[in-house]
Amino acid sequence: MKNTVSNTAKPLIFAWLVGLMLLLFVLNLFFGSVIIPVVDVFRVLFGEGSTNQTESLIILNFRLPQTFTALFAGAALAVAGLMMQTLFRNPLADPSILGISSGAGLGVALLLFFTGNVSSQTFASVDIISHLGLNMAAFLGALAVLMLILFISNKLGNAVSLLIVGIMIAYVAGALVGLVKYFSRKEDVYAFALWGLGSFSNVGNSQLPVFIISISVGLVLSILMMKSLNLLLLGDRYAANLGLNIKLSTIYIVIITGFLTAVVTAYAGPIAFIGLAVPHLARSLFSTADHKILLPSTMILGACLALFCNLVARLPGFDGSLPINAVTSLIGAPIVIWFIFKHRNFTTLES
Amino acid sequence: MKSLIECHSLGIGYKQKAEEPHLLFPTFDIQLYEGELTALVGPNGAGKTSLIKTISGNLTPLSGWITLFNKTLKSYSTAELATIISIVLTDRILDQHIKVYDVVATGRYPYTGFWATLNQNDKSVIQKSLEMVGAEELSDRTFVTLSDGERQKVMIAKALAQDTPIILLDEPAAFLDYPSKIELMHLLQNLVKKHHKTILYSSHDLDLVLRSADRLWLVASRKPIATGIPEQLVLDGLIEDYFAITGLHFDAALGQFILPTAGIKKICVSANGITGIWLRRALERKGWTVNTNENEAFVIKFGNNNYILENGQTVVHFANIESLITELDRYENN
Repeated sequence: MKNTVSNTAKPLIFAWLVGLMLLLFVLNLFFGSVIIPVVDVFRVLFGEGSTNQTESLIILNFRLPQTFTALFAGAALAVAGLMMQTLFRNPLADPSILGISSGAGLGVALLLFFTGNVSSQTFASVDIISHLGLNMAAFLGALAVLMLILFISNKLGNAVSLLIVGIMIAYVAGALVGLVKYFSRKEDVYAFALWGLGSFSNVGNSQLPVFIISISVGLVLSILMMKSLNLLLLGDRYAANLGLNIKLSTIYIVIITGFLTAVVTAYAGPIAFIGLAVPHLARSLFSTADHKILLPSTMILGACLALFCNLVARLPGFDGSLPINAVTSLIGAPIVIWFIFKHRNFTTLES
Repeated sequence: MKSLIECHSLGIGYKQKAEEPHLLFPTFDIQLYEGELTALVGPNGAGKTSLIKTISGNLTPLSGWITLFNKTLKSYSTAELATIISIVLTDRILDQHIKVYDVVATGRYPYTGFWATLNQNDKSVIQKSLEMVGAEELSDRTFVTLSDGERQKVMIAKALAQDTPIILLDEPAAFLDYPSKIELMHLLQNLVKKHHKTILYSSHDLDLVLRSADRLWLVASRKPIATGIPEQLVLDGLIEDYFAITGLHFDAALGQFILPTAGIKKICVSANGITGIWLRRALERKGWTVNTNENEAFVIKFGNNNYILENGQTVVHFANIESLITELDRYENN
């Protein structure tokens, strides 16, 4: 097969992607369901006075945190997906494969159930604990599953069994969620369904620093796994012979992926698709399997895709915003199919 | 002779919970000598892969111990082992995008730092390794697009880039066509002679190992491991003993297993050189027992580019082997 991307072209593509990400970032600030003149957006951003109070509120308190959330959540999910695909040597693996997002879902469902049935109020009416409580519940649920997975992977030390156990845990958590929903009030079931559709608008300015710092820590840690991930591509036995401690690297990768997924799911709900699709886009675009290139490029591409989806979800004309999960799949799936047709070197699974 | 790896009362096999450990063969002592191409040979399923896994530190022995450069294998860290023993496996690399160069570059990982940055020396070692196996032109290709023979070369280049004194190969010839097998053996012999590597490879292909290896480790299920140079093992009758398959007979003169024949169809061939060899093979395939006794009923001679068949007074000339054996078939059926 011909080498489609020469080595000199790679930094150029990367530069284009960074440019695209910045452009999408700016577009996210300028466009939304409320139409605000470009001049006014500039005024608000550069702190010139004499602006409309409402416009200033929309841009600084809604659009800005939402844009940052989309950017970091996209990067985190994409990198988590890449690490799962490499660890399990399975192109269909994604961040939810270890059952961590199901754990988050269970946490949220339990919170809704207890606030509803115990305090006999619907969750929607308990404003004080609303967002923060939801985030905590999701994070704790995800963390509980992560601990369980770590305990098991320490016992098994074998990626295939770990994968199966992860999927089983996801089923169990899903079943528990079903049970909890069955006994919950109608309003709480609706609130849970909304959470499940995902949203980048739940992180307010006050929580934004925590979110950004947590994700950044996870992203930096993932970069540190570069050498291990490259070795894992060859399979466990070659990797071990080349000096890699398989068990320890597996645990590190599970911790980093689990942490990133837990933080994103806690703040933005279970966002599908980005983690599955972006690593494939990056591999095709750069025609490489080298994580030195793949890790940064999946981050940028993941951020781009999330920002683009966020933009589409809030296009002017829609009343409010569309659920982000619907948008990621509706937009992402055709992009991936197009890419597969364009880059035929993304062939079928090894037969 | 210096031995790099020594197995002491080594027992390998499987241990299932609460059961007696199942040994693949009786505990044994064996040495891997420096500067030799050693072949681990035995029928499929005898335990060759388990033995290779044990020596490379991938499988824990059930009993006994292994020393490597006079220190126990257990005392080496994974990182240290990575610079002493390299392996070439039958495991397939599943990634769809990995490049040949990147595969070979992983051989340098034990020497690189945290970021796996390749310095000038690493790059020149990778280049040399690709050249040594004749794969320098594959360097930009995607690994999955290679043929089995090319993949094997690239994995050997990886092992060479790893720059270890010992290379272990598990069934390196298994998926190769005949010319590639010969080429591979040539390469391994070359690495031993010119680059001072010590190589152990496993194979079930007796013909191949008898032609290429300096020393054999002969294994068969539940038999003690036998070792020696190939020719001695043939003369001692051990090859036939270890490979015994009902209905097959090992011809020590030819160095290969042949289908047993009834032995009543005798024929004499008096032709030398390459023509004689292939004529003989054609006749044996047809079930004749070939000898050089000119008193046999059928005698075949070769002269003037003609095969001459003498049957008593009848003398017939044939232009090629095919028409000769067709004629013999006709005699037989009458």
